[in-house]
Amino acid sequence: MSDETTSGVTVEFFGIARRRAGRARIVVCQGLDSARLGDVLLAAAAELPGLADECLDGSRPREGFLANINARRFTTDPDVPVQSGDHVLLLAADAGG
Amino acid sequence: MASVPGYHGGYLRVDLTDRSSRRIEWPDGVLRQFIGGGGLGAWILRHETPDGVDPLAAESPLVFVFSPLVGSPLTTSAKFAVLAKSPLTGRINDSLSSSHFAIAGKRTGYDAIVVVGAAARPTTLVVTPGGERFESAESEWGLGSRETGRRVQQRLGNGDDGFQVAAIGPAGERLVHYATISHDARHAGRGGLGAVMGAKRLKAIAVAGDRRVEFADPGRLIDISKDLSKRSLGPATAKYRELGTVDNLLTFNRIGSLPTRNFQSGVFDEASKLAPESLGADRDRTRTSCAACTIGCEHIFSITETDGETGRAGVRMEYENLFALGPLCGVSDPQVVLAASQRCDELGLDTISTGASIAFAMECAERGLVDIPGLQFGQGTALLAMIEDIGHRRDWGDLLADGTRAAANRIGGGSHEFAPHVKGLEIPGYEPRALQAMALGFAVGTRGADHNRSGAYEVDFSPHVDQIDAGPETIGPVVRVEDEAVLIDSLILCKFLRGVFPDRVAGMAELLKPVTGWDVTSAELIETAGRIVTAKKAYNIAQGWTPAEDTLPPRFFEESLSDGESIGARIDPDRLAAQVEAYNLARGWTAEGYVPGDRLAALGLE
Repeated sequence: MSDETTSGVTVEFFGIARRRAGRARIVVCQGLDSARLGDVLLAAAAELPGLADECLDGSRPREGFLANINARRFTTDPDVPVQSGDHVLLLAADAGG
Repeated sequence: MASVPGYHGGYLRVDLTDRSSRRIEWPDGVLRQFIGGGGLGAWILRHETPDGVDPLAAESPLVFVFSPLVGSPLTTSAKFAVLAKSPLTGRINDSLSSSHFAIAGKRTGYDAIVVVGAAARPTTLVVTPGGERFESAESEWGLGSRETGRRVQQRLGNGDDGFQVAAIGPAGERLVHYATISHDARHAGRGGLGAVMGAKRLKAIAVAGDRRVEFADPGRLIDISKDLSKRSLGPATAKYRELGTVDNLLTFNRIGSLPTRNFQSGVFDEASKLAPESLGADRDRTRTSCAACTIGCEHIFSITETDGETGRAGVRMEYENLFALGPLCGVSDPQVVLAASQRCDELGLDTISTGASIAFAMECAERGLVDIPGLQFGQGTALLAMIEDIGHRRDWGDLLADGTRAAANRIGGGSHEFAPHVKGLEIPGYEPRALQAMALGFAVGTRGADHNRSGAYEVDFSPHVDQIDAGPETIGPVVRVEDEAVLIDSLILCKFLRGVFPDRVAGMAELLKPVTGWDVTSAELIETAGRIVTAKKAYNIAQGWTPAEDTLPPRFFEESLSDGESIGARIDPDRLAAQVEAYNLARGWTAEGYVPGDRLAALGLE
């Protein structure tokens, strides 16, 4: 995992999520060694209300969105463990081109 | 047969050679078995195509098919399919396009128009309920499809209920094997249907009429149409409305699945220059939609060099033309990519096969296999020049105009190992080593490497599989998304609606009921999907398909991705072969992929 962040989890936003977040990324859960994906998304939502309204359903990606851990595994499961230094990507579930 | 709501009950068969035409009624049961669009077109093509026919021969049929939903208030239903034996692949090819041509075509009173034979001189075929006529297209020969459509409409009438036109550009006239058929700047893009039309010296087909079909339950149809329109404006389509498919670029780059420099990498370092935000930074950007569509996914970007022919400055950008004319060729200048895309549209070239053919030539040049002055990855000027040469079949462009498989055969030097195609159809913008469910979808696709007929990238973009280490669990979902795609292409609906259906197949069954009156179930539709996929397979077998075709180019087996988040990813050829076998068995075919007689019988395909 490549990372410029030494603590916390970096949430990267793509597409609509980036537009709603108003930024490309945010670092959350600093000071924690590990967390659940749901904790990470809730922490991001707390700082980015636009994101919470349209891209999240509580602690999980809203229908139409997916999370991806370290650009390797897609998931919507809020209980997936996430480590400090990980990157969580929030992106559109539909990859049609 | 008894009239079925949603249909006119027959198709028109036109022979350009002797200028004859006749109406052919649908046999009993065919409509329910094949629905419309790509499905019904597959049935027609199986019955109209002589085994082993040269795709560019006069007797090779070209089929335009509408669907039961066309003319209904259902959003995104203004679509039509075009089918023929592909000159690029020698296999079945169905391409879909959209908008007013579908509505006007169905108002001619036919469910499909089949064109056989070849005209002696450039011709426009005019179809109305009152009959067919054949007009000279000498004055349009050489023009782009948009200008051709404009002139034909001007001549025939383009008011309300006026003529709508599908036409080929110069590439179709010159039989470029990946030439498109275009209507209102939308394209039946893949597989060279424009060359089939060009070989018939059919420059354009113009349709108009006043024949409307009855629907089985108009009240219910209006209710579900309103509901579907409302849902089409929800979050599931926000990506397409707000950003368009170009949104894929940065996502794919981040996960290492953006095909770059002829599939030598899954990461393009300069991708941010081509991101939607960058494309729109210094340019006007507008949004539009097909007829009868509430989504509006088309994002039109202005470019500074307007086209002399049309005076239009805008170019519609989609992920596929962006990836193929950008990262695949190593080009990061948005101005070049926009201009290249616009020229492909005007010449009538499939952007994916064009970009892939040029990227392949760039790698051949890099390896010293060919000497084409200036043609290097990243060289926008050379890209634009080669597009012109392909469209006009000049110099090296003449060789590349037959696609990467044919070019590799002529260039030699092991270039077939990195020629990016399956069955001759160039691979779209999904790096198969990084998206291995998609790799299987590419390998087994009846029209070749294709993201619209398979849609297996959906399986990769899901929690259910490891996208770079896909195992047996991949098979069922790959079959399922292919089934869904074939149904969407047969009703016909826009695939961007997929996300609005909690259960896609059940949702489609609900749409069909008030249109046709059929009490269809999900189970019946899944069987229908299997029938259509099998019909396409049987067509290919009759045209010479062999099991060896269901694979990927050697590059993807022999070279691991060397950078990006999918670094190290490679396709195990034995595992892919096992997956292909499992897919074949799941379809009810033999492990090799042949269709047993009892399977044909069970599906009514004898």
